Amino acid sequence: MDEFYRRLGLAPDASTFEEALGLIRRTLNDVEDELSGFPMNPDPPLKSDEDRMYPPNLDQIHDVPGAPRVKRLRSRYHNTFVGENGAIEIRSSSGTIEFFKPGADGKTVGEL
Amino acid sequence: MNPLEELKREIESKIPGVKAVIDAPRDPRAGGFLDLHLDDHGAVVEWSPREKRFGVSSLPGTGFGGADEAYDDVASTVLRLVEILKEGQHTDPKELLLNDLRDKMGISQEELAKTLNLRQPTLSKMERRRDVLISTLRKIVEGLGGKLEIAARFPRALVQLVQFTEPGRAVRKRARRKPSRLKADR
Repeated sequence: MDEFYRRLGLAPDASTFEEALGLIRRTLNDVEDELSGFPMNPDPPLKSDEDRMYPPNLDQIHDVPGAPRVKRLRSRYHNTFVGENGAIEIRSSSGTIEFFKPGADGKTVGEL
Repeated sequence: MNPLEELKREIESKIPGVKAVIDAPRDPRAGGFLDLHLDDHGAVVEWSPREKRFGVSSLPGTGFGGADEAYDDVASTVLRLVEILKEGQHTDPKELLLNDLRDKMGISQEELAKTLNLRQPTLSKMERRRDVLISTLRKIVEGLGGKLEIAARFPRALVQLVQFTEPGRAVRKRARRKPSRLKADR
């Protein structure tokens, strides 16, 4: 996770929701290709003995009450918030912010 | 009633006081999550419509990996959740002591010692050691029905070291090379 967050932080800020999602998926897949030791399974099972991480599933998109410009992607231990300006915020299931990055306009998810 | 709602109803009837919240997208075909908390213990359940199974992971957890355990039906999922929430058990199988592994598999020390042709006190000592012969560890793991694997993790690769875990695998001898002569010697 540290390397994923490090590379995500170094990448150029995204300017749209789609760009931010692509950045998250590309960055995590690249890190796991290099470091996990397991090839990517395009259709990963619910439970696997392979110690490889996968980006949030696109069918788990939720609206965020009170923030119409932000969407939430639910995964097992995290909620990933993505703004229409490309801002990203990743929170643990307990609510702790583990990572945030503004969109190309300089605004963070919390400012949308 | 969808599977997560059914599971929520069952777990609330089995564990009074449990906090159970379904977190699912609008599209019921996409599955969803059930977050569960009881005092200091927590678990997250994911319903997979594709596999028609429940994935169970205890909290806290990290990373974007898969579920720790998977169950085919509501009843067996509830049984496991009771262990996690009421007894504080953890699902993560990646960190277990040898004796915990044996217990988890429902095998007593006496049974395993008999399988390995050992005395029970000898096995007990082995399980408490911090350092054992690889051949001994291999026998214990095989006695539990598993296969010992040893891997070396590098920044860009995970390599299985087979010479220690596959007894029949001979170590390839390196050919002895004659020292090369200097051109001036010829």
